[in-house]
Amino acid sequence: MKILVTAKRTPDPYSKIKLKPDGSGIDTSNIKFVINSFDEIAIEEGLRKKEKFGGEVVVVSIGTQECVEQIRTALAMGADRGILVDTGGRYLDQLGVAKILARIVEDEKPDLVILGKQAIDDDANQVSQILAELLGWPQATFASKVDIDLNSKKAVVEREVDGGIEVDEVSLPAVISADLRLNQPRYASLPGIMKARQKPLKTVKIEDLKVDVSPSVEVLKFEAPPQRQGGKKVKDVDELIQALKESKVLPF
Amino acid sequence: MSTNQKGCEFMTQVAPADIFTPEDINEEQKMLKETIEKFMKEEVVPRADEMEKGKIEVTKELLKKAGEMGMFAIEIPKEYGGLGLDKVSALMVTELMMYNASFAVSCEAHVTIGSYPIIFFGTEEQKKKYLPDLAYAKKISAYALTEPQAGSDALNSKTVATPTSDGKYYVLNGTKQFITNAGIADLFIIFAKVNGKDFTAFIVEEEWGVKTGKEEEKMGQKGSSTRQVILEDVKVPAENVLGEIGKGHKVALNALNVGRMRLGGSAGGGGKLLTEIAVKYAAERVQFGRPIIEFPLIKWKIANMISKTFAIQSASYRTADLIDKAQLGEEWKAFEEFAVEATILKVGGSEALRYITDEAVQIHGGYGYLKEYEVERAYRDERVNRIYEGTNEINRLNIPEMIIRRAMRGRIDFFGWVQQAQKLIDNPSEIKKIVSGHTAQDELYAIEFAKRSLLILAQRMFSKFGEEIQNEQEILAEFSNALIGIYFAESSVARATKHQNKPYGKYYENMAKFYTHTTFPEIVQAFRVIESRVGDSYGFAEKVSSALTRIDMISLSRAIADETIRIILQK
Ligand SMILES: Cc1cc2nc3c(=O)[nH]c(=O)nc-3n(C[C@H](O)[C@H](O)[C@H](O)COP(=O)(O)OP(=O)(O)OC[C@H]3O[C@@H](n4cnc5c(N)ncnc54)[C@H](O)[C@@H]3O)c2cc1C
Repeated sequence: MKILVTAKRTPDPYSKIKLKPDGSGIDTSNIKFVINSFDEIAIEEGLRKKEKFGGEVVVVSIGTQECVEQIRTALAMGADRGILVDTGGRYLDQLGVAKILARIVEDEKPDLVILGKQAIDDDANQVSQILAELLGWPQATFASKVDIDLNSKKAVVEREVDGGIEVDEVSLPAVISADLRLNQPRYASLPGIMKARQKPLKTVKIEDLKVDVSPSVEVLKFEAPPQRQGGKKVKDVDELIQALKESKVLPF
Repeated sequence: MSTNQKGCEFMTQVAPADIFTPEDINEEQKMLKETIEKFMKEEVVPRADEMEKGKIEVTKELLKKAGEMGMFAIEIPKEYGGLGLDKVSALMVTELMMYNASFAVSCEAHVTIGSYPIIFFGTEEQKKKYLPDLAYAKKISAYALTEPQAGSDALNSKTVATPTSDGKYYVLNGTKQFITNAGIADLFIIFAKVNGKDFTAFIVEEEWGVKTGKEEEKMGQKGSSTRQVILEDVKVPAENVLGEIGKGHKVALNALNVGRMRLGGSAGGGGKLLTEIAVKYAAERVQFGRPIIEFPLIKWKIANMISKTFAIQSASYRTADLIDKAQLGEEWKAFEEFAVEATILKVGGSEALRYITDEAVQIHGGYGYLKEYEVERAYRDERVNRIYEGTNEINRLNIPEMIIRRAMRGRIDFFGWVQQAQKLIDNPSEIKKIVSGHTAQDELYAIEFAKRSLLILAQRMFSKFGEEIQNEQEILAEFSNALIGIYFAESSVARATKHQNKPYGKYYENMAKFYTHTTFPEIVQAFRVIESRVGDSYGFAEKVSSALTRIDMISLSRAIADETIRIILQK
């Protein structure tokens, strides 16, 4: 079975994010980049399915040449080949990204597309849904368990919803988005890292895909959340009530 | 091509500006680094408390996991299932293992002293049989040399290997002391005397009846297993003799060459982590209304910690790369070629780490004395680095001994070097010439002046005492101290020179200078001690002392600390 997975280049969740002084974006000069944590889970799921059913895992990253790093990491984890869509650094909104992926899917014709449910940088949570719509495929989002039956060409997907688990059945090909508890991604093994160099990695220029990616969403400005104010120590309950009144937490 | 291709030649050459530095690692090595760092942070660090309680089964589990990832396959040759990678990669990994010193020492014992003897001296059959399993930690290895009565005097072994009458087996009897991994090992490299005479190495499988004592209750590195290994009539097949009968010392010492070099990695990695921990703490801790990190004395400590770390790393990457590039056929020869440098890394690295760890505790104040804080463990963990892999005393004696031996055998042109040194000392403008083009030129000048003076003084020292030099331990050790200071300082300057045009060029230059200035008094001290014994007709101590131009150390310290703090806190 052929599985397409995504690897968005996002800042390491452990790095401290600073904004550019003009608010046009984040200052990337001193931060480490990794594969979006949810995409990592998607990649892991793809690899597990491949290990079970055979086939191929193709990893796609959309962005600048620097995304090669994330593709190589996915290849080191065990993916078979990589596709980089080189945007030359231009801004894409979620619709644009989904359109590009839809183009790649038309070419690659995978049996299954697995994406992270959202990216940890913009937290948009849109691409998988739009992609399914563009392709006209069934979708199962926020998957916490995926079982595949190749005979009936179906996937049974569990989703954690408020108060319980929803079980969905989708026919393949389908789009699945990965939630946090779907699996625990593996470490790239050292032999895997060595092999990654020899695995095929194709770069496609965004212009050559001939899709209209002019954004319909415009980013106006980035702002840091307000600095947290320090707490205040009170002596007794009376003082506490007084303080709560002053800060208008208590309505009377 | 580097100009410094042979062991000890640094003593007669200026540190090359094409020195290999940590910044020069390639894309793959970067990925390796990131993967292993992730593994350490996510898998090992969270288990630290369990390991600290002495749960060696946790250590074993983690070793197995690391093994599955291929962490120990790095240096195993490809023919035997390994990755056959370079020593620089291995060094880098060693640094990262220091997120947990107990884990690090267990890994090092498995790889450097536990696997290398087979890589170096194993027969084709032995390599085929054992290396693939060692590469992925399917089997864990230990190295058993020390005995209760044979510590520093390691060859004074009482363990006996008696051949069976059919010659097919050796029966081993004896007790080994302080064996790392003993409680979790499947395989032991054991040294014993055949018929009580010929010191020989054996590969011994645990299931052939190797017994171990109780876990030692140690000061630190509590998550590593350390036990006696007890051999009572353990029958070892003759084909498990490792290397030649009577050549056990060759196996033992060459494995230690790897271990000693790698201790530079532990020291560099440990230094970096402890500096980070200390800076983060100092940024949070408020006294007198300010975070203590703003106090100049704290900055002074940070400048020292980071400059020492910089020096260790500069020297250890340099050395690892030299070993990688040495083309001497058999692999053990490359390590042997750079045994002096490796010993310098062992002693200099562990002494620098001692200082760094101590200051990390000091910056934590009373909290550094509490078990709740990581530095408390680091303080106890660090101590043994100066004891094992040969005590620092024994290693300090080894350095000049190796140099003398190489000089006598004509492996190095020691007397030629002394003559050249004399010319340079007589004509200091020549030294100025050879150091021009480097950053921190004044510092490099002083280092070169000291280095050449040390050669001349050493020659006088050797010729004055002849064979009796063995009894002159104090000056032999001081000679080593000076040489260690010189190697570390010049490696720092060379690294700063290489990166002088990078955005961090100035920072590097400052660290190289600061390190040189803080180390130089120790070098001068060495000259004083040696001259007090050999005679001071040259007045080297004074000349060397005045070779270093005084600079504004305070501004330097503050600038280094500020930049270090900026880098660490924005992480
Ligand atoms: C935690 C731990 C793990 C270890 N792991 C291993 C292992 O895996 N395998 C293994 O084989 N060994 C291992 N060792 C043993 C270690 O290598 C020895 O402890 C070390 O070589 C010193 O020997 P010793 O303890 O008998 O000290 P001694 O040799 O008794 O030394 C005592 C003191 O005397 C000094 N001294 C000794 N001889 C001289 C001399 N000629 N001149 C001047 N000073 C001298 C020493 O420097 C030291 O300060 C380990 C030790 C420890 C503590």
